[in-house]
Amino acid sequence: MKFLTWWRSLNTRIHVSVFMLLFLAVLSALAPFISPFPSDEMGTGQTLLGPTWKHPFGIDSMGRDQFSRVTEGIRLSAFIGFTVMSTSLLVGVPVGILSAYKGSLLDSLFSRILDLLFAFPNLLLALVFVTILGSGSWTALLALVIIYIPIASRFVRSAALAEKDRDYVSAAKVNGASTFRICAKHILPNIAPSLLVLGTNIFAFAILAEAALSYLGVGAKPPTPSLGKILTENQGFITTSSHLVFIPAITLSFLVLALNLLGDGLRDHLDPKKTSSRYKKSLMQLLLRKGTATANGGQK
Amino acid sequence: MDASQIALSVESLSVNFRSRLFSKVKGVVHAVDDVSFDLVRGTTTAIVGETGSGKSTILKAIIGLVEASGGSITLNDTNFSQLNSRAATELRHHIQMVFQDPIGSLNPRMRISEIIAEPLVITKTGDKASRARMVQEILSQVDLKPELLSRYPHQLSGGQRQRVAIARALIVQPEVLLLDEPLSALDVLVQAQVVRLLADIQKAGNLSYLFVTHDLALASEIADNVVVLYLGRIVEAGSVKDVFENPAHPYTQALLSAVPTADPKIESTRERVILIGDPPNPFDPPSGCSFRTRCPAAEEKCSIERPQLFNLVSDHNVACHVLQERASS
Amino acid sequence: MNSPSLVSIKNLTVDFWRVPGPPALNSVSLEVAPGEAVGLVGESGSGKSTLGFAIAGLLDPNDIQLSGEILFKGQNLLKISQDEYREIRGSQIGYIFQDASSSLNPLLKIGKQLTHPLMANGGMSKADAMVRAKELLDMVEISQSGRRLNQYPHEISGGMKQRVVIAAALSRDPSLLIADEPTTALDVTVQAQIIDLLLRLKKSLSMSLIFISHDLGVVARVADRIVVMKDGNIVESGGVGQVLANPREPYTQLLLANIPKLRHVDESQSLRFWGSNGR
Repeated sequence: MKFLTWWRSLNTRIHVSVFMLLFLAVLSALAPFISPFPSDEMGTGQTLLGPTWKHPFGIDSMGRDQFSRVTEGIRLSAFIGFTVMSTSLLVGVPVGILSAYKGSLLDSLFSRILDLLFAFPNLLLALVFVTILGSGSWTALLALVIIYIPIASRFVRSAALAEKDRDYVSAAKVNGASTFRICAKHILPNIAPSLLVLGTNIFAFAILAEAALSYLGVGAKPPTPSLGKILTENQGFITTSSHLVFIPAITLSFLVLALNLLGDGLRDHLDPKKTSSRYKKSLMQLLLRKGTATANGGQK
Repeated sequence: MDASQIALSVESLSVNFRSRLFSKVKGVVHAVDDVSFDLVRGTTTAIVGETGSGKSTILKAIIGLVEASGGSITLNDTNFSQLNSRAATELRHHIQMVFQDPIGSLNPRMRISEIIAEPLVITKTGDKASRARMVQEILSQVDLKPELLSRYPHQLSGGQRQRVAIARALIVQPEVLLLDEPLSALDVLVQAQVVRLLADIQKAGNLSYLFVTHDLALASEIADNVVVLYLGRIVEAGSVKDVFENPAHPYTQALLSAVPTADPKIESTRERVILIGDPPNPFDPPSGCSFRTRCPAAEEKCSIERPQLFNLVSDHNVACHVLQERASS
Repeated sequence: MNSPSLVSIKNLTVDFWRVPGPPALNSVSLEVAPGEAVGLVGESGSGKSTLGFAIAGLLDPNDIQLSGEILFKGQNLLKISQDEYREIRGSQIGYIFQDASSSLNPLLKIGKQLTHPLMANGGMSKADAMVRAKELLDMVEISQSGRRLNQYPHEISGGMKQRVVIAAALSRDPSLLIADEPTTALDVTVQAQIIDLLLRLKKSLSMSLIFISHDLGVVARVADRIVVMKDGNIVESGGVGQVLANPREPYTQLLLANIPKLRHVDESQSLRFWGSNGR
């Protein structure tokens, strides 16, 4: 009953995105039952087959079941998005808040390092990291974590900067509250709504970035079915077997769209007044300055 | 006056703000410049002045929110500058502050009960049960209903919020309460209620108030003594009766005459002064007396030498060359 | 006053759809004579600002339910189109908001902000508009008016910004000026300057003034007539002397009893220093 009232209080964007994400989750969870072919098994005996009841998304040029590959791609994307999001928040939140609250030298130093990092486009930086570390799924993941930690830190810092001069922080300071108490009890709860939004956005952007890296051939190695990798492998057949390209591309867009809708809806729901356009703008500026290249790369 | 009567003593306090590295304006602002006054136990001193006079900065320096660049602050004969930071924090628990904006000073994500109990938690006073008891007690002192305890700040009215802020300040039983324009965001009737509440609390606990306000009428109602600031310096100080009845400094005179009253009799007959122009740029204050650029009686000396406070009658002090010359001749 | 009213409001009711509870204005009637200064006083939520907004047509018609009539020079403002309303607001009703700094566009020079409406709506040439803008700044007693036209809002003080806002409101010689808490954000001495200026302008331009404020003291200085509002109703209305000295309604008495009074100051107080300059 309580859940129902709460659910009703959410806005349409959250409703729609939750259903979209649930759909993808159920689809990839039921995948082994719908289509019991391992994603890397080439033994179906056929190649470049259109959708059939047995193989709902068809069969690719190497004779692998496309449905199994796409659903596993979804799981892989979700794993990468979640890992990048949680790691960058885990590091970015304490660093950002402390940097904003303590200010002075630490903050200046931190900001200059970030400025340096921000001078390079997102994807280029990821490519450099992957080149140094060697390509592969895990190094792509590591590169994304390295890139998104400063983005998260900087966003948290700017959100915390707005809070730290509030009178309630001063009031706690006056009573001798410790730095930890002020950060954890006063600043963090008040920036939490924007952190949730930041989290969903990083989730979505990380998925796109991973797909782009894999598409460029520096991410997932064959036969790992990353959605980006599936696109590269099948782009040669776009005229003859277009479903092999369109289905994974649409799946990727669907996933990212759902996450962006969720972030958008959460922002409006959590703080209708405070988090209006100001946060949205600064968040978008941060993500897009480096993110546009990634986004375009992924959907080429 | 007997030294034990003085709760808080501020001695030639100065606060400087340096301009930021890349900002357009350069230099140092003397936000508070050589300010001294005593707060007598159980009384109220009002600090009045306009925007940029440094009145709020004095409170922040006393409570440690900004660093003083000179001077000393003494509470009950203990000088803050002689203490290490830990002991200073402990001593500061005897001083509490109520902020101007009742919305901004309460954490929107905490319940009223948590907000009021927070100073106890920070100072590790009592256990959970005794804290809850103290919160209940303080709540009745500020005339709030117990059912408000489980609410959040945004569910309260402006007057209720300011009572919560007062309750939070009172719960550690301070001796000095710093009030930074606590009434300016409230409607007339609510404001009057809070004024009465503050007066009752003061009487009951022998509290001393340092009250910063831009509202001279309010200052005249609740304060015993008044300090008038202009560009970070005291231009006139004394008992409210002395200063308001016989304002000596030209700035105080202009300030008082500018206050609109709702009394048509006074309005129609009393003299009025309209100051020309705006206060000078604090980054580039006039030499000598900072008021000389707007003063009708400014002499040559005023631009050379900075006037010091001198005693006019009893406790009534004023900083003005012209008045000092008249007094000595 | 026997002269026909400039503004005549009859049974005006304004109800915000989205705000539950009683209407923001509940059958309010008010007359403003030409050249008269009316002070609207009340606490927050009394409806005083809503009344100002309603007269100037600044309420979003989608948000409210309106009834009654607002006659301005005999024309019912509630019956005309949005375009006609805009024309009247531009040329005959001036409006000053509380926060001067947010009424001015921070990215535009003061000259541009003053000349733009003159050219767009007043049909002036650029050169004429510039001359007029300088004239306006002189009128609101801004020193070095020529230089100010080339300055941005952040380069001038708060009091001066409010003067620019007043100049903009007066640019096309309105016959009614509505000022919504124009001095609340200002210091006392600057407030005194602005009040003084408004009163002189009212006289020299022979316009009517609706002055909205929570501060009875300020209203006492400005207004000829005081209208006390509470919860969307007019509680009491009358000449300044009468309302302040002999309030009839208990609510007005309560307000007057509770505003802080300047103690120890009486009518005979002498300001020795300002003998020659004092007004």
